[in-house]
Amino acid sequence: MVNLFIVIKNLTIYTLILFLSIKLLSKGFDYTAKKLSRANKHTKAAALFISAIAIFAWPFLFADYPYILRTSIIVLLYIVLALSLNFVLGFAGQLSMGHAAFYAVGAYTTALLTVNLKVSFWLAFAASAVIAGLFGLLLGIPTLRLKGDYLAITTIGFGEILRLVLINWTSFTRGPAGIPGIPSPKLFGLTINSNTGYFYLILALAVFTVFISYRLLNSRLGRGLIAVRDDEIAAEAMGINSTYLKILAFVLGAVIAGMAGSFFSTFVHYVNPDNFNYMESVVILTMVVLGGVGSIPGVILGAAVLSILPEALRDIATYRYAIYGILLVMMMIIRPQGMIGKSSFKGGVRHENTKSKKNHKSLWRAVGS
Amino acid sequence: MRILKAKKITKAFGGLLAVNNVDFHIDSGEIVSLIGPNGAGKTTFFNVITGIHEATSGEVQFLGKKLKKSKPFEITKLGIGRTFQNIRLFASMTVLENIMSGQYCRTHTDLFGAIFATPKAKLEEKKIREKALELLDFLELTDKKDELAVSLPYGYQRRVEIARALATEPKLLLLDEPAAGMNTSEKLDMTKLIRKISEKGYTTLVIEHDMKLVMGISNRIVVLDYGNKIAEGSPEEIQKNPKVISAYLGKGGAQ
Amino acid sequence: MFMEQLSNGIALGSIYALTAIGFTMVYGIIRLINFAHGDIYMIGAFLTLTGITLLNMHLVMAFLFGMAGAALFGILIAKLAYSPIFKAPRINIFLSAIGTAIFLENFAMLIWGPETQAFPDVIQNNVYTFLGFRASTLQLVILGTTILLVTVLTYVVQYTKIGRAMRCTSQDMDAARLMGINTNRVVYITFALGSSLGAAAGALVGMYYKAVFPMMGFVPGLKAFIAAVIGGIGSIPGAMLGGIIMGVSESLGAAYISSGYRDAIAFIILIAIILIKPSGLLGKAVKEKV
Repeated sequence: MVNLFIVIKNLTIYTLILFLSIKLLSKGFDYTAKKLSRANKHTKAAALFISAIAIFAWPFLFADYPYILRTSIIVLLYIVLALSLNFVLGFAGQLSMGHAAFYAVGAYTTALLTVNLKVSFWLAFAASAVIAGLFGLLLGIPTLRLKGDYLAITTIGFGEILRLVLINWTSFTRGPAGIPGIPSPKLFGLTINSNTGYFYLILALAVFTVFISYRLLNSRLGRGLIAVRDDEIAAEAMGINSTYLKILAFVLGAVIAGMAGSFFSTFVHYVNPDNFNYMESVVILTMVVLGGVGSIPGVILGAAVLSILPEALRDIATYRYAIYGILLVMMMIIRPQGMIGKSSFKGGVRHENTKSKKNHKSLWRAVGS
Repeated sequence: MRILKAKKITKAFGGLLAVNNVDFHIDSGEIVSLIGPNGAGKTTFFNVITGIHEATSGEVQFLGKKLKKSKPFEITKLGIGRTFQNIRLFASMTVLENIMSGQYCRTHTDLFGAIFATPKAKLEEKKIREKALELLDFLELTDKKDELAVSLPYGYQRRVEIARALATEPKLLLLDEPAAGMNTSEKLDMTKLIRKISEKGYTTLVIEHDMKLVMGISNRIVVLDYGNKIAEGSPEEIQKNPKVISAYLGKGGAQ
Repeated sequence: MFMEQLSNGIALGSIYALTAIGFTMVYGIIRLINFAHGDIYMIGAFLTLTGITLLNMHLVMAFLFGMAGAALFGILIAKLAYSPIFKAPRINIFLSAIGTAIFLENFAMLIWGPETQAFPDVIQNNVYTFLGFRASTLQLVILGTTILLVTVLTYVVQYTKIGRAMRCTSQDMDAARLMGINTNRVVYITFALGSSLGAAAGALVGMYYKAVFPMMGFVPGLKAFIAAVIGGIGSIPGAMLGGIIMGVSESLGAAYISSGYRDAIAFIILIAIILIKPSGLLGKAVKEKV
């Protein structure tokens, strides 16, 4: 109990630092967003080109720093995972809290196929995507009729059931012991086992995910999804089949998470049920919320920040999840749209958000269900 | 041409007759208004003729075919577009995007087409945009197209909603209290707008409280009271109809 | 064997019921699934344990200390995490609730340590047999405490001024406020009551399994939510019924099917209930008007 005071003191300090940095970073992003939306096409193209070169040259710049390279791989992996959840939460507006389950399905599919059946990684990768997608479909059809918090709890339940199956079905999954010895992928006779190789592999997946995110968002289906997220009743009245679109987003998110899982298992060469627990889902969720639900650059940033932060804050590692909790609450209060909100790049007056704390005596308003 | 025909519609909720034995029809190019005091059964009738509720007895025909109970998106696809009493625009979309979303049910690009931007998908996307721009022009919203729809003044939001409904290419346009919450000059604009839409050949059914607006636009008015149709006719006829006067003003109201 | 599992189930079920009542009360008033409720249950268990071991309190005193402390936590959570964003979309409040839950779990880990702590033997545990039922002293204590607390709660809700205010607020908050009810106070009192019941459940579980640990509230929190859904969320008798159903089916399922999957049983029940009758056994369906 003596450490109660130390804990509270530390938490207060970290929270303050966090609060200030969110405020500061958000201001910075608002400013850059404004600048960017004013900049002409050439400047934008140049900026994009330079960042692309930097990213491709990255493994060579840091070839002698395996730690940095490994961290970069993890960052990219979480970008893929966060973007895959963004299909469900950001585009379709459905709060799925069992996302780690699809990640697990992908990882286990690859692990089982490559270790037990000696299938090539690429085939296992495709199978992981397909099977994770099937799980998405299986879960999506019954549950997507549910609203908000009910859906969240049901998806948590699904994640837990899957984890229990992984633990208990020992003859198939080896239970809590996990599956070791997952081989590296081979490409044109070469084995990809260096950090550089893995970097390009996950970079390709990340680029692919960003690409389909943008293409989907700017298509007929994307507009339909956003319509469903904004107002389901109005969307239905515009002839949009909301159930179909929600399931589509869910399956797409599951497929991509499955691919990420497949990569994870070949990268780490070992999977066990603990890699895919509830906290993993929460971490992915926090990334999306921190960055900006529905905003692709936001989600990328959120994933990057939250996967680098724990590395940078090794000394206070025990405080990590407590800080995540505070971070979620704080984001909802001070900046619910995330660091880079989805409408940062749109004109007009910003939405009224929830800041109007003054001049009402009754904080608790009645809400419809 | 007869767009919608309802024969002897009755809708009961338990023992309560919300709509009782009402006949209704609307022909191509007409503006018909449905009026009645609060609780007259307008909304229920509206929901029945658009297939959201199933009638307890009676039959609805839309474009000569029997209308089954269907989901809202299927109804829109059949050709009934609508607006809402309390405006429901898509909050994170610009005006243009809101209207483009109305084209959803008339287009076909699938996931593959969207991701790989096939020539067909590109062409369709171009058509959607052109159609939306055309509608923006028609409703005089072009200069507002890149603003967030919900940040616009009230009168504009109504117009965006109507444009969005028109983007679904409706055979029948339903306006649910289009003048609710408007001031006199906005109501006047709305009257002009509804006429303009009608001149373009759209068939329009309006549910409205505001008498001035209804009298100014309608070819025909249908009056409901306690679930019964108490009158039907031109604005002049309705204005003189003693039953309507007593329903609205109470008995003796018309001296 | 069956009878033994049945009495285990009833003991477990009454704990779920206590927790579920807290969920249901908060939901009834502000339509929020208080995701942090399961962690309030854990806080209650830890505070009771601290009361006994560190502050040398008598069991009953420590129990009350745990309930009061958890009530305070409940009010603080409502004040800090929920009230600033009450008008925001539901999903935001729910995310804030998830954040609160994660925070509480890890806060407890920082203060009391991540290890499982043993709850001291505070009650002499005997086994009684009656008409084929086998029940231990602890099980009877759990059942007795639950009945007592639920009776007190029912009295408060049905026969006191604040109870009337609560019932008014849950039906129509705006109307209640117009009638001169201080709805803010009602909300905080609801949080306090719900949290103290959750804490009682946590302390009882601590005694029953003789173990207290930071993540102990996560799964029971979800199960209590499921119990509330089974009974029809918002309904107090429904939460009682749901809790007992959950406890019994879990005990029987663990005994006759597989103990490894005992936590999965709850979720399977949830999915089944939501598919068949989403409004729960004693609840009413609500539909959005256009």
